[in-house]
Amino acid sequence: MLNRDAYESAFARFSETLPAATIAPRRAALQRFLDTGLPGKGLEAWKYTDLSPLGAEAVAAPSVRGRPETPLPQFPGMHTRCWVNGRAPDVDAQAGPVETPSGEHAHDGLANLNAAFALPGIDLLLDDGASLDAPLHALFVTEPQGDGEMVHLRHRIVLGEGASATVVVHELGRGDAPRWSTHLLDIELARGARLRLVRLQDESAGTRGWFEARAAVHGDASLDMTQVDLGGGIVRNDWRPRLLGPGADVVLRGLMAPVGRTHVDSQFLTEHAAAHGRSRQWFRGLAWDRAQGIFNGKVVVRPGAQKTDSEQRIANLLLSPRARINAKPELEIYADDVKCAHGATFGRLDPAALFYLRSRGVDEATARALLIHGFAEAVLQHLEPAELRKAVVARLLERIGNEIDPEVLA
Amino acid sequence: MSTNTQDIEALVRNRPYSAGFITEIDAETLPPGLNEDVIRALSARKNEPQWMLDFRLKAYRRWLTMREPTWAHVHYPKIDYQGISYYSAPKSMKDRPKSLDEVDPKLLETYTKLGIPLKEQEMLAGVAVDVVFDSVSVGTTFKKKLAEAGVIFCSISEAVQEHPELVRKYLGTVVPFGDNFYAALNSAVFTDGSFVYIPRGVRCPMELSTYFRINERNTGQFERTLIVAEEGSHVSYLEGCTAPQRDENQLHAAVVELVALDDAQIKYSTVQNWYPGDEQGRGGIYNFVTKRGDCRGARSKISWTQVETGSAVTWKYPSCILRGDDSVGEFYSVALTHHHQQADTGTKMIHVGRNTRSTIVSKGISAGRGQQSYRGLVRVLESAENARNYTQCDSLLIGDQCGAHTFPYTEIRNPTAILEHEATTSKISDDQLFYARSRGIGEEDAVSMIVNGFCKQVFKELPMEFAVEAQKLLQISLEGAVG
Amino acid sequence: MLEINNLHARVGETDILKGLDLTVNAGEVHAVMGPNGSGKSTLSKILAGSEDYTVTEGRVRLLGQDLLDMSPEQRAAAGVFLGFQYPVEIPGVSNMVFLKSALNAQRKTRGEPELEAGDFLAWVRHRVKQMKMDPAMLSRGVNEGFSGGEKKRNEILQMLVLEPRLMVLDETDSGLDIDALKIVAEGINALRSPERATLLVTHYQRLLDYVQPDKVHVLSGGRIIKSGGPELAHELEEKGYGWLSEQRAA
Repeated sequence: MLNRDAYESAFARFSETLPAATIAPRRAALQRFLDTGLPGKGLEAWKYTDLSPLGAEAVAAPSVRGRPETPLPQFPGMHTRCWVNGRAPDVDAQAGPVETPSGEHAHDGLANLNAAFALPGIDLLLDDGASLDAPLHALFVTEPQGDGEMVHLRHRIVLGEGASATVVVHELGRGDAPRWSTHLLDIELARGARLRLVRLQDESAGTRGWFEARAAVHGDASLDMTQVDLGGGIVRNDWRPRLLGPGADVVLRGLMAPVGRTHVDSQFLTEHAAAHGRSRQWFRGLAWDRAQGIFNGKVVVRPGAQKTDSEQRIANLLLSPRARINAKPELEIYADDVKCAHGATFGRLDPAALFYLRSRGVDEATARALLIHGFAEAVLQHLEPAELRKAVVARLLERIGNEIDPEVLA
Repeated sequence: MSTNTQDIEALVRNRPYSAGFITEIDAETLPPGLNEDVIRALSARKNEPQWMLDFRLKAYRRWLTMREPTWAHVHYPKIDYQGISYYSAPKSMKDRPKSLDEVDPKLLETYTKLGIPLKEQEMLAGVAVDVVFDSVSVGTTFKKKLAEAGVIFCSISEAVQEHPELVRKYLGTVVPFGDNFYAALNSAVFTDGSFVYIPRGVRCPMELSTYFRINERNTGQFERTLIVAEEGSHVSYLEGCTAPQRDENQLHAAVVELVALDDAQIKYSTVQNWYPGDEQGRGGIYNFVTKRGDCRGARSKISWTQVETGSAVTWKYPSCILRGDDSVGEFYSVALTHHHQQADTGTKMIHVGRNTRSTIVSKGISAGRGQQSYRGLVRVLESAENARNYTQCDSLLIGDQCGAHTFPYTEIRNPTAILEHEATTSKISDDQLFYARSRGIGEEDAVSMIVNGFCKQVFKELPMEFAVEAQKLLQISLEGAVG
Repeated sequence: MLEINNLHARVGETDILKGLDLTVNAGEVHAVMGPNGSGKSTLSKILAGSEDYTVTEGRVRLLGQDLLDMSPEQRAAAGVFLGFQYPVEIPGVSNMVFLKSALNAQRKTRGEPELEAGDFLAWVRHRVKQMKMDPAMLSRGVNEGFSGGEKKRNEILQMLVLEPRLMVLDETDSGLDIDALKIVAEGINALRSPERATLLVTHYQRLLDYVQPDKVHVLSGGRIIKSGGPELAHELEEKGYGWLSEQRAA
């Protein structure tokens, strides 16, 4: 049962910080959320991630801005902006009006929850032909002050014709308290625009996170996305790019590496709505301990989207007896002149390769780490600059309790 | 194409659905509608023991609490379950014929028209046939010869009477009465079907086969098949289906249960050619079927092969539960959807035992406005050390109005599992077409030849006679798909 | 037998053949040579009826029949055979089934009776032996997993089985070692007869050492720019194609 009172009172508290005129639509979104509740059982898209029992737990409005207690990661050549508990230091803490979910998302529980509580996140608008002089490192640090605290953010990246940008979305969670975090990102790429996007999810073990990105990719525009899931408690990621013009190109890469009892569910849904589009989904999953990893990759080719060229490759390694991985590479095709292929493999570290390394004098732990790194490298190699990649590898090794020097792998 | 071309053309010219005729025969049909009284009446008519009636009633009560599944990628108007008659039998069957000689000649003629001459079959071919017409079995051939080997092959109604201990021991143990909406309905109202029992160590001396035919209007067919292969036994079973051409849709909701004990092997082949509806999508059979095999014993093997060319809507996932250590499950499928046909079909391989292996090869062909989905599940449980699966699913598209979809679920809970999945979707290659045509082969023949080649991996799993029939069916079903 | 008059053809927006004239009489073997990109393969494919090219002008007649109005399968029945430069693979369709379907379809179109299964088998086996191929190949898929040389040999096998009137062989010698080349050449020579004509489309002289042409043509820029006897092929082998274009330019 949904703890309606908790959400109502959290909203009452939160709405005190809102301009009066913006409250009504948010209130309506809250109502729709209360009507639908959290997604879970009964919804095919949420088959493996049932959030509905969590609705009974207490929640609280985001606490007011704080100062991060620990040093923040920075990468050379990048421009870092930092949000603490959902609030950017250089932006007025007051949240403004918000666009509420409509159309196919109108009854989407999480989208409505996000709309009710959304704080302003990334808002990047580039004119035709413009480009960012340096990659934007958008860092979201959360250090909750109490249980059930919610941080909901709304982001927007709109690139004009031929514009280009590189953005790193980096979520960093501290503390163990249970908390909610949702991010809703709208991307629009006009003709010929190019967006490179990196997302690093390194939330705390108590985090229930939802991240959804919807992207409209017009003719000759390109979206190149790399996502690495390092942390979190119960994590759900939805990427939904649509190819809307000829020559559109979308590459989605993902690496999940859940440990402990982490549950990570990533869904890539690429929709070809125009002819001559190209899309790729490259996904790699590793699961340790009692962690559960889910990947659902789907490519939809709409009627008329002829000459679509799409490929999905999924590879998974299970590294502990109690770990679980569920994966589904789906194709839904309504045009005939297309080239669509997908492949998926599941396995463990190759015993022969392990033996080979050990016979050359490498200890078992290092040998395992080398092979795991080699497996992850297919995705990690797309992280730039090298400092970013090294930081991610170091964090990955730390998470799996491996003491090998990341420099060995560099 | 190993068949003579003239043969095929004669068939094509005849009419696209050659099994579409109606047999004028007096039938005893229960009025449409479903309630406990109908079930009691049906059970009484079949002279069933109390435990059988109890099973039906339990299933019916469960069914009332269930909802029709909606997750499949198919669309059809709501079915009025009260508008269906749940029992129809040719009147002449009332006093069961003792042998085929006493069967109504009109019925025999029906099967001769379908290419299953029961009498000649008995004389000539080495295939034993059980024939189910609407709700009842009309006769089984070669019974005596099979009995000598200890094999029981009869209708399930007869088995309930003659071998109640076996039926009671196994019925509903693979597909429980409440397994899913259609299985529950079937458990409540199933009328006939085949029963096969192969004793320990016996290799069944011939192919067993059942032909199903729906004839009456407004009837549903709910057959139930149960095959039990005792330790070390082997059996190959074939199933064929046809129905007359009618404008309204008819429901077919069957349940098939297979049990393989230690070292037993069951090979189950289907050529499904229910009436697919016309070119505008009017009429046709709703084929909502639950088929499941239980590899209960160590080193047992169950292999499903299906060629699905008929039905307006197909919802079917022949599955294997690989419980025994070293057991093997296989699924080979060709499914074709043309005009307005829709198919959501695939398999489930549930790996429970150690060293279990499964293979899935699915070939989907979509033409016209056909919609085709492969839906498969491979689940490896914690206990399934060293499980292996290989899945290949390929789709071929003919025309730009059709659709081909792939939904392969994979759930892995044991790190020693190794799985591979490969899928492709493409249209028939222009280069291949041109090559064949430049050698003098007409476009339609070239397409059908390439499609047959595409399906070869599956056809080679079929027994010889069925492979030929399957190729013919494919060719007929593709009629008009090109150009 | 084959008359090509003023043939113009294009692919997309690009003109490839620009007024090609060529006549091959019954019983003759002609070689069409030329540098890469001169339009050699286009010519072969157009003769077989490929829809990748658009014929914008001109006429092609075989035994008095207009070829350009015919579908590829009609042309095959009329006697055209193209040995492809890159024979395609057709997985799952065995060579045996393919040959039988092709032969019977052609016979049917010509109003001839189809062959009995036994007769057909004997006929194909005879040709397989002639091509020194392993009869096991007949049950393999058409060109499936064949090496380049095996594919070319298979083309000639098909030609021997189908016995066309006009043999168009597109770069059949490429990818063959010397032994295979000899076998292929023997296959071609076996079909040489007063009722047949052959068009060898090739870049090199190699094949012509084994299949003596009656005439040699040089195709360049979409046209025949020079014709001559077998000696022309030797000249081209020695000097390359450069001297011809220079000669023309001069």
